[in-house]
Parts: sequence; structure tokens; C-alpha cells
Amino acid sequence: MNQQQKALTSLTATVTAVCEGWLDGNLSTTYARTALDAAGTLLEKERAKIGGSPDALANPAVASLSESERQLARQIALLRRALADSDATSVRQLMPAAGERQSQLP
Amino acid sequence: MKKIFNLLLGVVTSIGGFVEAGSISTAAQGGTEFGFALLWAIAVATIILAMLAEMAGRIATVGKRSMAAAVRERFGFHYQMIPLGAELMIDLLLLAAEIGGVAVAVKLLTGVGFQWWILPVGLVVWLVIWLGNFSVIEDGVGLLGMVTVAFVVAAWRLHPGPKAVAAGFVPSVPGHDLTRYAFLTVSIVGATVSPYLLNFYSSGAIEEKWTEPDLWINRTTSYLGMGFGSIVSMGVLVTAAVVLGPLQLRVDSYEQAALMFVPVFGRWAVTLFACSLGVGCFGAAVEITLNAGYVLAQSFGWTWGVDKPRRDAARFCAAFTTVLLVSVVIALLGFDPLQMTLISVALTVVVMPLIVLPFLVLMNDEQFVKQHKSGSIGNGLLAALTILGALMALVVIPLEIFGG
Repeated sequence: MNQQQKALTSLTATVTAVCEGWLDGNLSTTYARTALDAAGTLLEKERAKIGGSPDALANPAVASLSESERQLARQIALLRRALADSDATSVRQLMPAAGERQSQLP
Repeated sequence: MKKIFNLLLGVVTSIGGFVEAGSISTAAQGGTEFGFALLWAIAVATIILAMLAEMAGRIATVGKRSMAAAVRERFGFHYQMIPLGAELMIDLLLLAAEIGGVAVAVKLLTGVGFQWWILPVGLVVWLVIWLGNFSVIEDGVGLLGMVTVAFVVAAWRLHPGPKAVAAGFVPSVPGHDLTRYAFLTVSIVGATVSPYLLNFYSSGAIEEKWTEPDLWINRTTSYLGMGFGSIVSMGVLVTAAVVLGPLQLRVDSYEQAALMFVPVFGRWAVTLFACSLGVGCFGAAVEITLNAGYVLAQSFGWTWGVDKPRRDAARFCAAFTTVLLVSVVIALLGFDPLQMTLISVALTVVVMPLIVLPFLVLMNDEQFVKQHKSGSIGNGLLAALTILGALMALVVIPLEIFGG
């Protein structure tokens, strides 16, 4: 549980850092999409761990973590689309939400 | 003058093979998760590697035998099969991880999936060895590896607190995740003290025809060269600690690791990281492939040497080609290159006693080192290292399970 929280914090920080770097013009769209893909893959692995033990979801903390992971996965999908469209406004809107996930952790 | 130039070149080019997937990933993970607290592990691992490389070089220079050939001669063919099997297994996995590392580096620049680059990378590695000679391979790869100095530049420009950095050289027990800390410590040692580096180094001494008067070159190259490489590894750790640590961003993929350059190099960050990773892994891939050919040929008594006409060393060429092919197939299976690196590094620690133990005997045998035998300090350090290696081999798998 503790490790999964750390993993989620790390992936959230990754998404935020990638978006900030892209908005600042330091990171290319190619890299940003690659990095978000990699973050998405790692997130899926983390989600599979919880999915592998459905009984664990009875625990409110695990359920909350699972929900945070689900939201981050959606965030990444939306950000990928925004990056593909070079839509800086959407990226800016979505990015702080990704950053806030960290504070919502159980 | 020429010798001094060669010495300087040797020191600088030692970076090739030292800074690669294993050292970059373990140092980055150590930095992000434990700040500067694992700097001591890199320092200790470097001293161990330099000590063993110097001994391997001494055997090659004085006894005119590579490590594999010396072990075979002293302990017999049947014993040699054990370290040979262990080293080949590690070489195959590590080579697959290095090829994967180059492929990921290209992916970072192009966005095209890393699996597409594995075959071309394997082909380029083979062509470099097939078409090059030893000097071109060692010096070329090493000089290209200078791009990894970017990690040192980044660390320097981030102005880490000197006191905090200095404190990192004193072993300490962390306040959290002790198992993870222990795992990363052992992994850093495994990533640094790679068996292929030792046999490659001793084979190189023979390829370059070192003689007894060159022993000082051997000593200087091994200690200064490995020290130079370790400074780059420390640069990785410090940069990761300063940039990624405060964000609580762990390095579970190379894509995440690339972010450590952004505050320093701005829009050149990803390009520089990809070049550093790609060149470092490519250099290691060339050296591992070549070493696989060396160790097989030396163990079976075949003619070997990258400077020899290919038809005169046909079995040596077939050996390194086969090992490269198998590694390319392993890399194509789609394992995550970073995970594969960490597994190979852990397995390196498992086989370490098999690699270190023969040194204890060979360094005291006049047949191999004449009057240049190890003194009581050298023997004491080797004995301690053998025990330490055995202990690490025992704990690394449980640590991999619980802290990896």
C-alpha cells in the first residue's frame, strides 16, 4: 500500500514535470507523449496490482488509492490528446489537476 | 611522450563501459530515493573494481594471460566452465539490457517504439566490432562516452550543498525503506563491478601488448580511469537527488530519468540525456559483445583477437556473433530495458564470489605474476572482498524480492 502510494506520487510528479517542461518549451511534443505513454504503462501495472486483489478494495484507503489511480489514468489520456493537438490551454488546465492528485492521496 | 598520451587516453576512455544502463539506472534510483546517502556505495564499488581491474591487468601484463585463460590454466577446464557459464548468462542479459538502453535513447529522440530499434542497434554493434580494430573500438567508444560528462556538468551547475554531498560518502542507515536502501546499495556494487569489465580489461592489455615496464600504466589506468567513470556515476546520483528527489519522482523508466536534465540544460535536456544514455549503453554493448567472444575463445583455447584477420579467428568471431544474436532476441522479447538492467545487476552480485575467488589464488602464483605478487594488504582486501561478495550473493535475491 505504502509502495503504491509512492508510485502514484511519483507518476503524478512525472506527469506534472512533463507538462511544465512542455509548456516552458523545454520538452518536445515527441518526448512529452513518449514520457506520458511510459507513465501510463507504469500506472497500468500499479492498477493491475489492486485489480488482482478485489477484496482489498473493501479497505477505504485502497479504494481511494484505486480511484486516484483511475483519475490519473484519465488525466494522462486527456493530456496525450491535448499534446497531439498542441493545445497548450488544455494542457495548462489539466496539468494542475494532475498536480493536485498528490495532495488527495489517502 | 607517446606513453603518457596513451595513458591519458586510457584514463579518459575508461568511461566507455563504466557509465552504462546499470550504473545510470541504479545511481538515478539511489539519488531520487535517498538523496546523496548512497554516494559511498559508488565510491566503495569503484575501489573494488579498480583493485580487481589492476590485478587482472597485472596478470595479463606479466603472465600474458587474460583472466579466463589464467583461471582455466590454474583451476582446470571443468572449473572454468562454472565462471564461464555464469559470466555468459550475465553477459547475455546485460547485453540485452544495453541494447534496450540504446533503443530507448533513440525512442526518446524519435518517439518511435524502442523495439523497432533493437535489430538496427544490434547490427551496428556487430559492424563496429567486425570492421574495427581494438584501438578504434576502445578509444572511439570511450571518447564518444565523454558526452556522459554532462551528468557531472549538471551536478556542478545545480550547486548541491558541499556538506550534504560530503556526508553522502559516510555510510549511514536511512530513516525509511531500509530494505530498498540495502537493495540499491548491493545493486550499485553489482552495476559497477561487472565481470565483463575485468576480462575485457585484461584481454585489452594483451591486445595492446603491454609488457612489465607498462605495469605503472596498468595501475594508473585502472585507478584513475575507474575513478573518472565513478565521478560520472556520482554526477548521475547527485543530479537525480537534487532535481527529482524533491519532486518525489522515482526513476522507474528512462523517460522519467531524462527529466533530471531539464533545470540545467533546458531544451537540450532530453537530447543530452538520450545521447548520454545511448552512447554509454552502446559502448557497453560493444565491450560486452567483444568480451563474450574473448571469454569463450579463451576458455576453449581458440585463437582470439579483434586485431586478427577474421578468418584466422573464425570461432572467436562466431562466438561473439552468436552471443549478440541471442541477446538481440532476448531484447526483442519486449522486456522493459530498465527492469532487465536491474535483474542483470542483481545476478551479477550472485556470481561475484565466483569471479573474485580465483584472484586470491592467481595473485599469489608466481607462474602468473612472477615477483609482482599481492602483498598482505592486497590479499587481506581480496579475502574480505570474497567474504563480502558471498554475503551479498546470499542477500541480493531476497532484497530483490522485498526491496527491488
